[in-house]
Amino acid sequence: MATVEYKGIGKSFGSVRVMKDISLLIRDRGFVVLLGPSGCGKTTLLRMTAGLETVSEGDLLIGGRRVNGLHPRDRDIAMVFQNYALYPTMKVYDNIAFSLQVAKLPPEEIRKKVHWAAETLNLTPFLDRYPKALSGGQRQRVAMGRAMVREAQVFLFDEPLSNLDAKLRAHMRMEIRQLHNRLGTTTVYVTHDQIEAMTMADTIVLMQGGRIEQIGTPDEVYDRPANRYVADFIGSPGMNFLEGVVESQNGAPVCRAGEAVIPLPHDTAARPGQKVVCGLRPGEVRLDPNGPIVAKAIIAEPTGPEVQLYAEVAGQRFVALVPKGNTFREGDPLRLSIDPERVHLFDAESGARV
Amino acid sequence: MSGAPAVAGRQDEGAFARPARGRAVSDHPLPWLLPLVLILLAFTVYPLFYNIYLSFHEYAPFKRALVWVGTENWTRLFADGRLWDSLGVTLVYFVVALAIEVALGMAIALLLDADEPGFGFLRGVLTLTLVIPPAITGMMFLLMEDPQFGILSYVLKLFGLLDSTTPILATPSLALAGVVLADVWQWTPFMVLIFLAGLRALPVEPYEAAMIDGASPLQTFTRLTLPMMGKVIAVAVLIRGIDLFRVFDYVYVMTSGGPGTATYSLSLYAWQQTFSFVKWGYGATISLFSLVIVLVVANLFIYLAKVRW
Ligand SMILES: Nc1ncnc2c1ncn2[C@@H]1O[C@H](COP(=O)(O)OP(=O)(O)OP(=O)(O)O)[C@@H](O)[C@H]1O
Ligand SMILES: [Mg+2]
Repeated sequence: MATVEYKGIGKSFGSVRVMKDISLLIRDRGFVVLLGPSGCGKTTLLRMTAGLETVSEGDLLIGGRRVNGLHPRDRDIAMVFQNYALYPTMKVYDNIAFSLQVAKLPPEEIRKKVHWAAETLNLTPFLDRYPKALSGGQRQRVAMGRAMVREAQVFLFDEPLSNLDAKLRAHMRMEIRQLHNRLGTTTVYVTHDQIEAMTMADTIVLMQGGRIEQIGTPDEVYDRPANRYVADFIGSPGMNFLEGVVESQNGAPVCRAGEAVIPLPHDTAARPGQKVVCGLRPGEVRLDPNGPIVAKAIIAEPTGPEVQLYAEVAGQRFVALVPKGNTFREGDPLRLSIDPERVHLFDAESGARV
Repeated sequence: MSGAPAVAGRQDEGAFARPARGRAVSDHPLPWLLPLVLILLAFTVYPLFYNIYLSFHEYAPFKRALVWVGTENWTRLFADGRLWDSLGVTLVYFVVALAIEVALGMAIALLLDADEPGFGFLRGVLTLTLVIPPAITGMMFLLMEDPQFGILSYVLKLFGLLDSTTPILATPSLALAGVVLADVWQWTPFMVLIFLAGLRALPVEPYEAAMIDGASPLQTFTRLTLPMMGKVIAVAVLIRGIDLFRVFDYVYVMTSGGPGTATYSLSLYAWQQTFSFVKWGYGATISLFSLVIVLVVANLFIYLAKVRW
């Protein structure tokens, strides 16, 4: 068990600087999810934590000790690689058991642990196979098993469930949570799956282009995105953005975007006349015949529990999730409303939260 | 085989259709195989059968002709103490040289498997010993192991490893080692090259995983590198082993099989019978005998080591 601390970490490959100024403290027993678009540096950050890449700038501390130059072997870290990195000449059993074998644990204990991991991962029938005779998802689970049997100080997971089907993924999500509850191992977890991020993380770190955009609990990043980028990234379908100008209407602050009027929280910091971007989550918009937001239907897609309605608001594209059973024809005039407290406001120029 | 086209639509006017004018065109395999078959017949099959034919004959100098001797050569072979001695010498040479060349070759290959500047140059330097004709290497070592002028003898004496009166190649207990030395010097780099090619083709990911799993360098080598290199090592052993078994140049140049018969290899013995004693039939019998040994051992090895070509 240990804290992991990044102090102004940067990374350059040759002359290409892919990461800069990463500062983050992961508390002991923490479960941090790294979220961000492809190529933003998630894997690189994990590999630096594991010692597989050198740290170009800044300090990396594990358990309060600076480990910049420490060999991966001596960091007491378990890792699930994005590309699995299985041992091709070992059977599944030995792949999972390897770390325990090299640590010279008693064979009986090794056997127990490996069988427990295989059971948890539905890998028992494959223990005698070589990795090349496994499917992608099975290989990924072997990689997972290799980490699960370790009692390391830190777990690093690089998209460990990306190749599993939805059902198995949900099952594994639960297993990983349970494992974490039981062992309390500090965990850094990379994923593209927002459900994984929201359900598993105690802290979400949202990265972009080698920088951290926001650090916060799942609720914080969802409810109070620090900037337009984060707001756009979190949530599915994505947040709607309407460009407009702040005005005062009957003493209440609103944002006017063409014909549409979006009510703002009464304590908003936005000044009248300020150019802003309003963010409205599709699920928080309601159909309301007296609503202030004037819209025009484009197309409706039933998704099962609700209908995903594509519309146009002040010439800008807009998505709303409305209850099942509503039907629309193209061009139908609509009116929508939203709780002013649920409107996110970003500066039009900087994109920062207002 | 039928003459059916392997490529669908090949006879259509498609991308594969070519004008037949002035070209050899045939759907039958025989014309294509014929050149190779002829070469094999002339240079491999015919000599083999001629050797078998010879082994049942012997050259009679007074008649100036081969005379039929039945299985005499073969019965003589099994009773010939010198033959078994030379087989023993060959096996010792084979085992010792192969073991050293594999172990040393792997060690050097591991050291040179790095991307730091200069290592590419070092890898290139290694090929130098391979361009020297083995007979010349033998002569070099003959000089270097000379008791009076030889640098090697001098250095060994300097370190007290050799007493000043001992000539390496003229001492029965040392002569074979002296010859093996030349072989090791010349052919270890060959093993290094094969092993390096294998090592550099290994994936890096398992090594990263092994580091994280806490494996020591030795554990990584035995549990990861060796198994992953298994096939490469097997092929190297096979190629080098076959070569070692028919050792001739070094012993011929350096010791001529001496002192006594201490370094008399099987090939040298076959050569002596054939060309010095003009026993063409018996010489052929010895070479067939060694061919059988190589075939049996090599195929057993291929089977056991699961080498796939
Ligand atoms: N060895 C390398 N040499 C040069 N550039 C590299 C190297 N490894 C990674 N990069 C660059 O660093 C950046 C971050 O890569 P990284 O693999 O960390 O992305 P990622 O966030 O894990 O993406 P993904 O979600 O696709 O896995 C990318 O722009 C990548 O091109
Ligand atoms: Mg990645």
